[in-house]
Amino acid sequence: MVILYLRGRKVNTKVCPSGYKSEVLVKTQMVTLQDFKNKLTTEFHDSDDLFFRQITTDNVSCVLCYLDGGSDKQLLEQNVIAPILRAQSPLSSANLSSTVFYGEEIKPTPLDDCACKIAEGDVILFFDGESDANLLSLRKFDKRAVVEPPTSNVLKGPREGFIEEIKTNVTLLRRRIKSPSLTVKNMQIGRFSSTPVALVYIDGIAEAKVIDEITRRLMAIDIDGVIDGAYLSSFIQGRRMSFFNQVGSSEKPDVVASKLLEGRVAIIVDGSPLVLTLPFVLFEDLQDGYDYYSNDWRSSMVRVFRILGALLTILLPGAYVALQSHHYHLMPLKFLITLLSATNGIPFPPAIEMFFVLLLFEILNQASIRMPRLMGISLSIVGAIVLGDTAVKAGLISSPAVLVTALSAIGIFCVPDQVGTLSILRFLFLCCSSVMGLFGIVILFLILIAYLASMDSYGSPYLAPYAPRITPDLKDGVLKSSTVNMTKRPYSIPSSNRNRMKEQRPDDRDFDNGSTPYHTKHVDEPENDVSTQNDVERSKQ
Amino acid sequence: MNIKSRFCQNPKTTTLYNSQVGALVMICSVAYKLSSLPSIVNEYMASSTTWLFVLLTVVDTLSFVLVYAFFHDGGDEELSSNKAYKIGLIFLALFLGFKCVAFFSFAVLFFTVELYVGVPHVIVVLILIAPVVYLGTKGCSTLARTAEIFVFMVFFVVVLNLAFLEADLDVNRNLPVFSMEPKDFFAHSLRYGTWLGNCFPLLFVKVKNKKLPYVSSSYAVTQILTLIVVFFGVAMYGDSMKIIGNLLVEISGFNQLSTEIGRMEWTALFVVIVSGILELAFLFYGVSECSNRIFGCKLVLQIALPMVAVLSCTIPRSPQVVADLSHQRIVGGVMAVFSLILPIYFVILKWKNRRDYLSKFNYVREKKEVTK
Repeated sequence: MVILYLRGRKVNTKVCPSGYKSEVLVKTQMVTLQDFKNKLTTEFHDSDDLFFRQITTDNVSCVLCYLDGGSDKQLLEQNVIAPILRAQSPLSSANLSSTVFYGEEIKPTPLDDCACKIAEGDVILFFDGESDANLLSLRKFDKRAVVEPPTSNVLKGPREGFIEEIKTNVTLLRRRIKSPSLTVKNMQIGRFSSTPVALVYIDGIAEAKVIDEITRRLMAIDIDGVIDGAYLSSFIQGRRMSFFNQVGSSEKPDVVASKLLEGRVAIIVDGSPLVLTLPFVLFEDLQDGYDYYSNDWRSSMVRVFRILGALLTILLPGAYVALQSHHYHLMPLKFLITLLSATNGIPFPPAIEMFFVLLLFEILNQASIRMPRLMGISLSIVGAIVLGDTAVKAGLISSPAVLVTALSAIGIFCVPDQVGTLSILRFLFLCCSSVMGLFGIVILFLILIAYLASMDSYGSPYLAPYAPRITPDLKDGVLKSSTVNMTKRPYSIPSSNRNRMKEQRPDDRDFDNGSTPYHTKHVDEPENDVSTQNDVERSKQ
Repeated sequence: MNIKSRFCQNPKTTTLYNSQVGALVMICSVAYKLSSLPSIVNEYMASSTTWLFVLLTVVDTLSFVLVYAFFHDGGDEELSSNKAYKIGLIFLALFLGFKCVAFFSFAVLFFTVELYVGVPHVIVVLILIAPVVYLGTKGCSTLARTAEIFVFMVFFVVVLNLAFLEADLDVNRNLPVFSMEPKDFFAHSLRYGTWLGNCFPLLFVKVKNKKLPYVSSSYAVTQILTLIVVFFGVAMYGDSMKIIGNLLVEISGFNQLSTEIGRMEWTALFVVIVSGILELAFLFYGVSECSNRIFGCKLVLQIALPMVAVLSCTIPRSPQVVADLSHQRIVGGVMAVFSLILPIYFVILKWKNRRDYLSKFNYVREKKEVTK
């Protein structure tokens, strides 16, 4: 039991800080309706949205307590109040289940917990003179529709997105993985917010050690409130000072479902449309759902472009400054002449000029994100004219600098989940190159790779499958292989079952040769494969 | 004794995949052999430069085979409490430490000449020491993973520069094979012992095998590539190779692609910077592991070595002093001897330790049987 000091007085609580009075009541076995109402009113500090509905008839004397707007009033009236009013015999907690229309088992709730349950949106039914109350979960919060998330548009593929409601999000996953092995573990985090958090994984695929470690870290969180999943990220990631994402996130159920099938663990937070996934490797952000719904060749090409885009974003401004300031002798002569003529008369050195243009871009970017949509259009026009035309014509900045910034700005959105990281890296490379030239870029790149290589996420090397090189996982690397060939789950993710599918023989795939591929057993499972044996035993049970 | 500190830990033998060891072998063997060494060798050897490289390759291969046998057989875990092993480690630390300081001075010279003309040495030294120490303290696993990322780029760039080479090559410049008496040839060859034994830090790792023979094939490719570059270098420059500062960079200057996409030196610069720093970091890692096994604390030599490297490049008027020292006949000779003796010593020690263990085991077993 946690002892907290709140508003200068000592309170005794389990989950939420509202148990001071209840400690007195717990000792009294027979509690009257008035005592119960007084206790809750005190705990909610005379809050105006706390509603009581007292029912006193010949057969029953009880009170219903709930918060306005948090419960379904229609259900409450039809399924709870009406049957109680119609009760022909004396009613108490013992025969409540046979009177009201309620889908779950009605469990007695200690009076200590009532305030917390009411705060979460439940209805409490208390009978006069009893020591425990009854919990009726009739929560009803407004929620938005399941629509395509604005951050993950796809050309082809599922368009559903997670919403802010945790149960809907779990259901969206269950719709894709219709297996009893999909396990959901609920917990509440946040002393005041009591935010419901669900840990989702597939039993038999996800590694038990990873699940235990994530659960341990989540349970150890002691925070006043969890408003979004991002609050939890910083608690469960390995290196807190790093500016690289160490927790995967997605707004799409199809993406999260596929990650669960690879052996990862998902964390769904109530109030957040972003579902967190662990373990996380850097290459995940270079993959996209569309890669798996389109042609493999096209996917491979697109992934190469994404990597080039990310590299252009972070290296191009720095390389431009390094070549112009320190190593102009490395450029081809014609290119150098063109560049010199374009930059002739610019009053700033290349590093200052590039820094200025990038700064302008970041300011405009932030302003356009936050501005109302209609004003944003005018802002982008002003920004384009000011940056692209007027500043160049005025001779304050050169057109190559604008071109480089534009290329870098477009490239950053090739990897949308790493926008923040790439933006920071772009400035770091710019600073290094302006001081040390090409040498600075190479040194920083080397240090960056070494830093990333030293990171891991719950047993997964951060740069896997390239450092260390895990050959089977390269099938889903930069060059994507066909789904038919991905017979094993990624080795870079800890998993208790590596077999994703039975291996397909070439003749099984060739349906035009007249053979019937269904009558033969495709491949014998290896006898010493522990995970396979476990699966077999589990299926027998 | 169980030491629980961030800096002072019980000696730990890192396990690497053989592909990672292969990557380390390749990336940590090319930089200084192809940048600083050819011109130094050419100064004394003239047309015998290539043949001296062949000799160095043979000697290096011998010592590498012994190192390979050592780490392939489980590393040094069983020798951790052996006093004779610790004595050997003192010499190994001196060997690797001197190599690190010498190569560091070559790197400073290279960067001062190629990249920072007119910049004081102190600034280059301070800039260069930071990544070396950072990578070296990160450990062998990080170094190996980093090498895995860069090894393909390094290999590709070297091959690309050779494939599009556009120069007046005269292979006869490699002749006569022996431009000096064999006795003088072998006597002079002792000077270059500092460039041997690049893979000694692998004594502190264990290897987990993948299917393909990555280590041997990687070593073979590296040595062949080195010999090809040197052969082409002599064919291009002949006896005037002694005046060029960095063979790899100079060769890449003569490239068919230079007129189209800019001077190709920058690709070679990338190779030299990356592999040079990784090689220095790998040697630094070797020294810090020696420190951990000798003193029970990595920090002793992790502080001492960078300080020696920085001071040796800043106190003398130029880092050239240390660079020249590294190929003196006596210094080079001592290094050459150590490069052969140390792996032999460690392998014998391991063999003896295992034999003693087995004999003790048999003795105890026999005693038990007699008691029964």
